[in-house]
Amino acid sequence: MKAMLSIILSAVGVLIVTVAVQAQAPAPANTPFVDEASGQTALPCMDASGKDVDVPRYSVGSSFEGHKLTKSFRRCDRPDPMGRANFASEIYGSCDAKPGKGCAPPMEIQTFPACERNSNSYTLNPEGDPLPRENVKIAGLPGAIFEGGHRVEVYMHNATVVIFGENPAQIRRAATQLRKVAKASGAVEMPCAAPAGAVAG
Amino acid sequence: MLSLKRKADSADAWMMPSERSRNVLDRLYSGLTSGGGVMLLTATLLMLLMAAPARADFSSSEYTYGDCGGSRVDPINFVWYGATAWASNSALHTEHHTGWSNTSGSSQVFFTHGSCRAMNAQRASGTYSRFHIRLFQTAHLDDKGRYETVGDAHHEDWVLSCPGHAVDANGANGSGFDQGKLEMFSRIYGSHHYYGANVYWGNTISMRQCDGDYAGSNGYVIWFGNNV
Repeated sequence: MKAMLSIILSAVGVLIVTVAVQAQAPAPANTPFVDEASGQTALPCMDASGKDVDVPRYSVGSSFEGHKLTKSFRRCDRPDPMGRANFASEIYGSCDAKPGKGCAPPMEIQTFPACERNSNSYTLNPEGDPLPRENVKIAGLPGAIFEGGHRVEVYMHNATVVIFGENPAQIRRAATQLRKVAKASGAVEMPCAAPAGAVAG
Repeated sequence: MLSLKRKADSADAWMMPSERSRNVLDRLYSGLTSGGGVMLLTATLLMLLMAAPARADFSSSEYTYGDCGGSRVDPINFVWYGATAWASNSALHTEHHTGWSNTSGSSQVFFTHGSCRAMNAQRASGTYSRFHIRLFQTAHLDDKGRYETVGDAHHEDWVLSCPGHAVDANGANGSGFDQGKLEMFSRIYGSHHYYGANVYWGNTISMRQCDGDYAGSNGYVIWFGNNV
């Protein structure tokens, strides 16, 4: 009987602590908010009704120059004062990862809301020097090349498309063949345009 | 590869000093052979003089690599910088503040000022599932006379099916790269090292791990001063 009482009291205690912790924790944002790390507007991962908030998605189809679309996923981190990632990803092809040594796939297309990642987002160092880049036009849209050609970005009004790849010429070709695809089933989209001063086409 | 000529944004600005000199010499040769005359020669010499002081400042690839001809492995997400931020001293302070004293792990390389360089040091919190960072010192001091040592902080699990280490996959709290970087931040912030900045490089590519999962950085790079 004593043991039973002890178990019940413990359970009640755990319940009280859980409720108290939940009451203190800030509610996750479900409307656009100001991201502390970037100072820019950011989108929540879910809206007020609990539906996933998607980002505009761009793709080059089910395969590209011999690389099949092998994985699609959505990454939406919780807001964090030190930064977060919020994008939809499409990975083309695969690579051979070893223990302790990951690998970059042949090509990955990431699409971010333009308010969260855009031409104004980058800084190299604490002095505020610009991250090295080459500004270009891609299919008439403003863009930039980073990482010695292994990263191409296209700046649109509502989305920034970032293409990573092992072959610089190939990802530039991919950048000219992007097309918008449907949002994830059951998800909602929230428009979130690039801020004033950022280039967008 | 990051290779900055301060406040410059033109295509010329991204050249390595040797490339820039070669380009200028090409113009000089072309001017002389086409009979451009003394004015062109004077202008070219002036360009040479102006180009000389603008030597590269901070230069690091955005990722580590398996070897000099290999592909990307981990994103760079942490920088020690300052008068005493050479690699061995950065490793010393990493260990002192985090308690990560284990030095096991594979070697990797990175690129700085156009050259491929081997890792200088590494520190980890244990042997199996652990926090881990590899440290790489840039080729030379920046134009403020500071050393820079960059790192790839991460948390990795020991995965039996590999068998070996795999960086924690992306999740609601970020990836193992983000967790490793935040662990470094939380252990060092408030100490005698000044917090420089949390800057966005956007090196967010998703890296496939040996367990089949993908892990990528959130693109932010934390800078801490090392002057002690």
